[in-house]
Amino acid sequence: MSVEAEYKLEMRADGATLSGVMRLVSPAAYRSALAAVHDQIDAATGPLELDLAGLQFLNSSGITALSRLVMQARERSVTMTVIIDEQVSWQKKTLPSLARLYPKLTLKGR
Amino acid sequence: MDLVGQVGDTLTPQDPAERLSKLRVELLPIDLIVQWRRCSKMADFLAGYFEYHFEDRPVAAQVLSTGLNELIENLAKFSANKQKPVSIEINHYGELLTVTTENEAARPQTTALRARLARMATTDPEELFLEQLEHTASSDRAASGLGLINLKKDYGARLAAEIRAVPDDPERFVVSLQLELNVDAIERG
Repeated sequence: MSVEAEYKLEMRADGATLSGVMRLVSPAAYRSALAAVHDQIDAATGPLELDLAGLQFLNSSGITALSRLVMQARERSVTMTVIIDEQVSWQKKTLPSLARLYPKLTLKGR
Repeated sequence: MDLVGQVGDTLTPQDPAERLSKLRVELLPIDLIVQWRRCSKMADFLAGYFEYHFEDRPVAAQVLSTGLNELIENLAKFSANKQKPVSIEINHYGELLTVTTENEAARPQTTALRARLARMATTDPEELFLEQLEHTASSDRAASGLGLINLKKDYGARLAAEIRAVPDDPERFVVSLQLELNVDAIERG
């Protein structure tokens, strides 16, 4: 486990990949960090894929931030697939609960 | 200091003679506020210290770091005086791991914590988690309010708090938050 690791956000045409360690100070801090993903959901004309498999840690403020993305996709009726790694504890435990917010969100193992 | 309230789950009494490991750390909240990543670094350090008790060390380290980080972030955010030391103590009893944090908090934060723990003790954590997500998604508060609920939902943590009066300051309280985790829940990841 690396305490020096930080997060990395890579935008793709059909979604985004988030990896590393993301423990920002507040939900508001995540809003700016994930602004590009919010913009992509706003502009989406088809399904999007959010790859979180490489995200080793996310704090509870980050879970709130993810829920905001999911709710935005729900409001805009954007179908979303979230790629997860079931070896990562928080992903295995928390993301199935998050998926209950939006029936058009599918979790897919890497 | 006078005890003014106890709230939360019923915790298992422990015999200090049966303790396998103990670690207690004092921190200044201001250090965490100035460099937020210190929360994560401290959580990783404490998790790394205790992971040797577990067969699947990487999984235990993930779970412990996740939980401890939430508690340390709360100490930073909810301490009324950012220059007054706060503490975190971890004890390992074989079947159980306990974590106790202590800090001084202002009345509104203390009242909110009491209400949250009382609700958590009687409400399905999954239901509470979804309710809190819907609530916080529409606000920009400094804290999500999800951390403790998540520990209960994901790892079956039992949580309780003792609230004590601060002499000569009716608006502040010493909050001792106790968390208890079954070791097998940590090992399942």
